[in-house]
Amino acid sequence: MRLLISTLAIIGLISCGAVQAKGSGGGGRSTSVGKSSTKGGYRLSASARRMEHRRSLLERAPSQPSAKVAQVIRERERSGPGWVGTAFLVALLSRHDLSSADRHWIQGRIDALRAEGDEEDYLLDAATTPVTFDFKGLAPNLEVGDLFAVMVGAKSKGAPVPVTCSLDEATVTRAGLLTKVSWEPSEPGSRLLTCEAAGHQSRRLLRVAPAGDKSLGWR
Amino acid sequence: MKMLLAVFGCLAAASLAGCDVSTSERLTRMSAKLGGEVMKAVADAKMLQDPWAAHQQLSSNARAIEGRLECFDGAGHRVCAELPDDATAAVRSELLRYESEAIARGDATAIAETFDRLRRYEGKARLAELAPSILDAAKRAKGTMDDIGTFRAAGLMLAAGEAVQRDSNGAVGYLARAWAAGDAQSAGDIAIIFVGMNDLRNAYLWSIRCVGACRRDYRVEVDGLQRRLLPAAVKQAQTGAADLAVVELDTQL
Repeated sequence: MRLLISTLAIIGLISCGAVQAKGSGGGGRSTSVGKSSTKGGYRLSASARRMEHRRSLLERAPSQPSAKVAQVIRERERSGPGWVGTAFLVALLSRHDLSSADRHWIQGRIDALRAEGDEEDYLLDAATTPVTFDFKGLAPNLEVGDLFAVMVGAKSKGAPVPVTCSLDEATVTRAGLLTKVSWEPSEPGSRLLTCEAAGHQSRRLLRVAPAGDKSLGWR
Repeated sequence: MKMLLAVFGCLAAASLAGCDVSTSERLTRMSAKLGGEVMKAVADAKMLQDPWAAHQQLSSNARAIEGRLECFDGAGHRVCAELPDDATAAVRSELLRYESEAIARGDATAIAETFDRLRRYEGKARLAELAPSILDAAKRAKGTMDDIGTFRAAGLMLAAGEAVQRDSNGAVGYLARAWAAGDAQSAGDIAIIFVGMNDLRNAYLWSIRCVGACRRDYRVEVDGLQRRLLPAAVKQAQTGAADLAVVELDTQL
């Protein structure tokens, strides 16, 4: 009888341990999207969250995206510090070739990451803007008497959009969606060329040196 | 009035403690004489066409005259001569008038020196009065080395948002022109503005440009900002910083 009880107790202990091991997720996987990650039933400290977030996104996710999106994420993690954050996922959402399942997955990860911690814990990626400017013919270092002419264009998500520019004492004319800025500086100094398109701004510093000396006093 | 009280004080003390009447006469004579010289200095400054030159001349002469005021010892009692109230008031009024006129004309030296003084000595109310003229002058400025003080005054006022409504975008524009004209410190000031806007990429871009004579504040220490960026962001900002025409990585308005 005592042997039976001992045996049953041992079996009970083993079973209990197995259930616990299964429940902990074998390495910290969150049990569902959108809930705070927990280990041992308590919220991670900020520093522990930072360590957690530095692991591969695909390892931490409860489900996987399509092979295509998984590949993109793996390549990104390989070229960087080994993990991706909210900023990258938000940028990924702007792709046009995502399936609705992939969009749902990405949004789910964004929600989970935001729920888990302070976004400032994350490193900033390169700035991306849906509007890009092109300054054709820009010569930032001029001399008095030079003729400055630049054709400015802008694209929003790849499609050309109207652009407006301003530069003191310059002649600004529209050429379709482009803007031409013409200027013959009569005095040395610095000027600010400011252009706007689709709610975005781009500025360029122009330096005018005295006639005959581009290097005098200028960077 | 103060001079009169000093004389009466001396006379009162004289009756009690033996301060002689001649001391009070000396105070009165000195005050009148130097007051007259101050009023002459005020009249002489009016002959100058340039308001800032007039300001500098009057300020210098008035200080020199004031430095000649003397103190006299009575019995256990020291009394100092002072300028008459009307002379002091005339100097103060004229100095303010010349300052306003010089700045309204866009005098770069007047703007730079006045802004520096008012910023250091809590002259916020006076700065608010002068702000429209300073901003007008900055708009008209061509951007030579002589305009550095004007651009810095306009940029720092717009960044602080105390004398005028805050305009961080405008502040960056003016300080960038000051930097382009040769002012190294403006790079550090622009980096701080971007930190205040939580724009760490552009703060990093300008912190890289803060070199040589530019003193970096702890908030724009290059390594600290770089640690907050992914490699692609570091490279993007360093590329932007190397292109001297770039003011900031393109922004949404």
